[in-house]
Amino acid sequence: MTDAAVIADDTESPNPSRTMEIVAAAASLAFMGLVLGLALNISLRAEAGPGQIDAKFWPTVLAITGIGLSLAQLIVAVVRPAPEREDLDALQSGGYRRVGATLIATALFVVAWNIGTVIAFGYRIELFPIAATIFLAVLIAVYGARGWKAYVFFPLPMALLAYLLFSVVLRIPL
Amino acid sequence: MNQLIEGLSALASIEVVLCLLLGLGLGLLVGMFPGITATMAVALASGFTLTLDPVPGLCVLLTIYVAANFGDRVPSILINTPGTPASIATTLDGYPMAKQGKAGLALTMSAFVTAGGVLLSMVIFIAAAVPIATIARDYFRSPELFALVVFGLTVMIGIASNSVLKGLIAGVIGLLIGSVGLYSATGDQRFTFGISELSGSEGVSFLAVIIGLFGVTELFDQMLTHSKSQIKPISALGRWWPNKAEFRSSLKPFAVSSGVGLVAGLVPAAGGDIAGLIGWDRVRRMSKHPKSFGKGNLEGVVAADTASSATLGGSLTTTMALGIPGDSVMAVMIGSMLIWGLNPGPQLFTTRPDLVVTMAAIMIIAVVLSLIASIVRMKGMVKLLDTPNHYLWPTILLFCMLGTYATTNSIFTVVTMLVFGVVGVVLKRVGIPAGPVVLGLLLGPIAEENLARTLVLQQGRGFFEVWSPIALAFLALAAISLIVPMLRRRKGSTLEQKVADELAQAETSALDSYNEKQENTK
Amino acid sequence: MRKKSLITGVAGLAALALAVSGCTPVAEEGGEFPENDIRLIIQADPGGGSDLSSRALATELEGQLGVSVIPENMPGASGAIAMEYVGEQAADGYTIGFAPVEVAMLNTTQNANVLPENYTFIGQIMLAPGVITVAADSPYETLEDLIAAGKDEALTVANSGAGSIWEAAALGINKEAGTQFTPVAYDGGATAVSAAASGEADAAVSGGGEAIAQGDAVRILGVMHDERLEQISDVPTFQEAIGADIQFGGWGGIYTTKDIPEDVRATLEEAVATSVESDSYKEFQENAGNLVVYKDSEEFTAFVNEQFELYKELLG
Repeated sequence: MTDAAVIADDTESPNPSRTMEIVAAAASLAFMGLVLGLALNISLRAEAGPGQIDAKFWPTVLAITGIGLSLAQLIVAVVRPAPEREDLDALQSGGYRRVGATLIATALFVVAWNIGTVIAFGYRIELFPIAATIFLAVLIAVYGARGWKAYVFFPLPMALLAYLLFSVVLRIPL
Repeated sequence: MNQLIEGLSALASIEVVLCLLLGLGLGLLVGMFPGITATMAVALASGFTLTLDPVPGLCVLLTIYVAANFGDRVPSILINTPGTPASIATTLDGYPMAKQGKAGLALTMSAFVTAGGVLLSMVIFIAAAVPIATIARDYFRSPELFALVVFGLTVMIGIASNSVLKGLIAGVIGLLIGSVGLYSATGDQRFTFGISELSGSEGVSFLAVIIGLFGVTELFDQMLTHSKSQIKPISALGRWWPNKAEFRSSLKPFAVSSGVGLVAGLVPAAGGDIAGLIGWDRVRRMSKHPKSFGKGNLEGVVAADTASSATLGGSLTTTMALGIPGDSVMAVMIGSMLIWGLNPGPQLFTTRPDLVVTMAAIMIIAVVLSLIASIVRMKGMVKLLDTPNHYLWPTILLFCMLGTYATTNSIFTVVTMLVFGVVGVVLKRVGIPAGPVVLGLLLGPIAEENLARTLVLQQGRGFFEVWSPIALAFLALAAISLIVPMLRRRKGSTLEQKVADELAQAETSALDSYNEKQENTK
Repeated sequence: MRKKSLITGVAGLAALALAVSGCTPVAEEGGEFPENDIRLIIQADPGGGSDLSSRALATELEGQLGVSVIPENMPGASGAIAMEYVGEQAADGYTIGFAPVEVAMLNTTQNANVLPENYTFIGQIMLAPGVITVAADSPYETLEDLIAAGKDEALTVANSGAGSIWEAAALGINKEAGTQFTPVAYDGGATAVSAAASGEADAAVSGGGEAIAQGDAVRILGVMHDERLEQISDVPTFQEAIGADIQFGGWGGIYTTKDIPEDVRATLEEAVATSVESDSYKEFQENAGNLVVYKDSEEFTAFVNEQFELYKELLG
């Protein structure tokens, strides 16, 4: 059995989409335009000497190149049929939900982590190990872990391992 | 001869053996954690090695340096996240191989060529460190560096496998990200929006970008496309010992890439990351089946890892022979050596030849130990990926975040990394590749700085006084690299190309399965 | 089965560690400083000159103060991140930092919120005097030659980076000696000196250690300090060679948040003063090619303010 066979019956690729290609090229064009505007407005401490390049030169050249390339891409997207996307896997149901939930959980985790420590009951309590445990528990729930064992044997030991390794061994102030 | 014996006998002690093993363990471990680089490990270890004598101290530091170069390939291949920047190019073919169930083969081959690359590069250090390093310094000045980097930028076309146009857009995005922060020639601020975290000379943290664009992007993409019925092919099949045909076909990429790595190692501005990408692209261009690169070609892994590891000897050479740090690990090494009262520079070779022998011996021993350790633990590493996704994903995400945090001790860097993770998924879904973004980010600042310097030096001098034949040759090579593929594309009809590629692919896979059968019957 | 017992083991160990380090009692008010560990914020990556100087001092400080002094690296934005951070901490002396010469420059060069009045300066602990270097085969044999040539044409002078102390030094020479040197920014001091060694730039301004490390490839022409350096005692100072008092150096000291209690400042000042005199600290700085130059809190504060004005004028 060859490897190709395994991959073939495994997943499907998303369909080519002209709309997506056009939107992507237009977005790229808008981005490069924005950058060009910002580049031209870079404030300089001092004028560059004769024959030298100042801080604006390089970003300006890049933004103009980017605008040219994006325009070309836009034309290609409009004129030519949309390219195959055989190197990508198709979206699956629940995919957006998983990523969305991950991002929300991560954002909340980062906020808790950023607070650092709280003082309660006369003790300075490190939030990181607690926040990391809850974060991991939420994530495995989102990704579909079943059974109480998963919730007992994964989040807490993993969070503490991370805390031990980084905060205690490497002395990184989490 | 005396110095040789003196240098080697300095290593014959229990303390040295313990230090070697300590460095080996640390190096392999930090290499595997994305974000924690060899530089960081060496820096942290240097706090401890200061209390040791120079020889055991050097053992720890140099062994970490070498072993991290083995360890960082593992996450590149298994989870598409470079363990350190030196293994960025490894992801290009290594991860597709893992997806096809050939992770074991990729890891084994990678370990072999990494060992080969480092050993080969040590020849420079042993044979003629001072003269070679002096030549490199005198002939690779700002104009030559600018030309070299422009040549490096043409690699973009190669990484963009599907659409050259999208690859170039990706490259421009990377170059623009590279221009954020302090412009080194005049000290002006660019695109910092008053955010102090962005206003240093690095601007956007490079490690945050690569971990975001490679690791977290892949994670999010898997979340989007994962379905329960899917079979995970990772460790399900695949032998891990390369067969004779694979060894033979690896010889040419090894030779080409080690050349690239040796030169890049001697150039202070270029390290293993840049060398890996250039080596990969050179081999791809010389191959009969360039289209199979980036889709899980073993030769691609060989090319990337040989080139990036062959920079080690060169970096060590420039560092010890000139006192100019060959890469960021070596910059930390210089700090430690100064404390021991050892001044890296030309006089080190005349006053302490025994120490030079000792260092070379440590490097070689470290390579052998790392190779053995890598091969032994290979199977266990691959098995890790059998962990169900609901455990694997949170673990990868948490450690990517911690690793990024550790680079600056600032949450801002973690947020940057996550933003690039999201941006990366969007880019990936619309077919814009991440490779050129990273290449642009890596090379852009070097290109601009050297161009700015060259133009300052140009004042009042003739054109050819500044732009040497070497610089012009590199610029010409860059132009050729840009033009030739375009001409070739126009000539060969796409249908013809497709059939040829298909045939080539069928041929290799047939050969593969044949060899596999042979192996099994043995 | 083995896996499970391993996980339980790890969990137990981790819980122990949590108990030890995760939760600490909050200190009561009123005791004598210091009662808790002190954090030493380092504005650069581990392994560099600032980091090693700070760590060498931290070890000595621990002995003096009787509590742990924990070095913490906070690199980024040429050190501005760390300096702004130190300025914002509680004024209790438990967060101190290493202040390199950039503390007097970053407000001018990067518009960072780093002003001398935001801090209490405890004491200067080191100095890396600047030197000017040319290639071994350069036509300029002495400092006079170089300065004379620099008055007629725009010679290129390499430095370790834009906005660095060595760029300022090149501009300072222009101002004092009437030369028209063009500063060219490189990536680090060693790279700048090697650019002079290869003849790419006409000269380089750098710390003494970086120039000495290049050995015979370069010729060191002058020292920007009030006396000659021990390792290169045949090289004259600027005062001796051209009669202009030009002094530039990469200095470093210890600082903390402004308005700390007077007794805390005095305790820290004394600890720093004693630590700087220790043999191991001195040996470290000598090996690194630096001088151990101590200034007490008052002198150092005045010095930083003076330097702040100087760089505002030179780089602004």
